[in-house]
Amino acid sequence: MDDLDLRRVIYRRLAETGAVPSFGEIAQLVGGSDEAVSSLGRLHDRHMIVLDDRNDPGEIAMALPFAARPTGHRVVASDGSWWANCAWDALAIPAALDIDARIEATWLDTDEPVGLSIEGGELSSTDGWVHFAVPARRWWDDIVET
Amino acid sequence: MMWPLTQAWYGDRLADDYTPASIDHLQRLLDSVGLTSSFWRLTEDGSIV
Repeated sequence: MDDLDLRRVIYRRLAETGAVPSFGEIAQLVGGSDEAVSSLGRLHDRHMIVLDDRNDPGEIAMALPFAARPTGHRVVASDGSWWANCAWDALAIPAALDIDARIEATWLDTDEPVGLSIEGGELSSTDGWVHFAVPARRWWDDIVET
Repeated sequence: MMWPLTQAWYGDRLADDYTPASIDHLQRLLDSVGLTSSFWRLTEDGSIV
């Protein structure tokens, strides 16, 4: 299985279940743990996934716009839910999946529920701001921080 | 503005034949929604590569 095939598996699993395949499953798919670490590393280097392997090798933190772990931004649809890494990714998940969904998050300044949703393929409200703290050319210096 | 940008930026992420967009393409997306300041340049010198 080549790297792009693995990327497809990861993204399809996230789309269908909201979770990434386990490292063990990936290792079985690509022919072993060493190859899994290598393949995931190459995908990380190409910015196709984001690894956070401080605890375990090959642990996937993100496959943008999806988060592999619970965050403060949740996207909920009629047939599934997903964690988003940030406000922009919370909009991006319905866009990527081409679905209607509501966003469960709170405004940073007021702690009030965001109350945004995608309905009929359109954003329900144009009120509010998405804050980008990092200049675009620096986003991938530390994508987790971004 | 964010919704059209988001759809264009992420709309093909799950396509079977997905390939990463070029920096040029992404920069033009940002330009197309009026994000033209230096903050929104994807390269150090602001040029489209």
